[in-house]
Amino acid sequence: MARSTAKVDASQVEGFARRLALASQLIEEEGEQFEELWGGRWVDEMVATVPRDSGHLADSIEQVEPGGITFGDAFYWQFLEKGTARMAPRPFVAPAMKRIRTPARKDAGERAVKLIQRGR
Amino acid sequence: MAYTVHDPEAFFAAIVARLISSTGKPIGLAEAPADTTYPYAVVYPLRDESSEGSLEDPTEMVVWAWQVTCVSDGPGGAQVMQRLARIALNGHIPVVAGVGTTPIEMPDGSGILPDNAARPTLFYSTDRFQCFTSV
Repeated sequence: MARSTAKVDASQVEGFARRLALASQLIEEEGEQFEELWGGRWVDEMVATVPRDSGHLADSIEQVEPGGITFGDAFYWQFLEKGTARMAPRPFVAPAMKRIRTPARKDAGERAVKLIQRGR
Repeated sequence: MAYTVHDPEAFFAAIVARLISSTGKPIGLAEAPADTTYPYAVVYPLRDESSEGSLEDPTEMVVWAWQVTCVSDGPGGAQVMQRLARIALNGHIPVVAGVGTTPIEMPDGSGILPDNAARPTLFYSTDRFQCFTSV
């Protein structure tokens, strides 16, 4: 019985692996830029609308890493956001996210299209 | 069918009425009810989280969002009130003249939290609900 054989050009496989690795790196970089940009805008929206007393809470909101938000030692942000047993909620975190959600989704779509076009 | 503009007052009044009839407990709208016998609940309309759709245009879909803060002097009472409110609202279709509404959803549930600033300590929950209105 005859055995079938096939020649494999290893250089093509290696080239494909390199392109995959490059694509992965591009996606990671793009994702980080996206998170940093929209994390910053989320912070800006919150700072612009947070209820102010001393201003300590507004001063404490910052982005510490791409997409990572902290309120520092202003633990009472949650009492404003959700209220307490006797205090009405004055939400500013979720509404700020809601305001940037649609443009962020649009930006994500555009970035994905650009990445695909660059990969061709 | 005669369409009406989206009316927040009518909508949230319907939510309060539903909670009163279903739970039998005191319910307030945006403030504590006159009868603060524990447990009770307060409906807080979340106007900033409602849809960006135009309230004046009856053909636009609008999202209504609100929080139900359930309050009691013990964690058990707050939990009972929370459970009653969830039973009353989840899946319920509010009846508001002139608009159609989808069943109520609860996208954000909470646990029972202590309010240590109150004396004596009170316990509360902060479930959030929403539904869509359309024509």
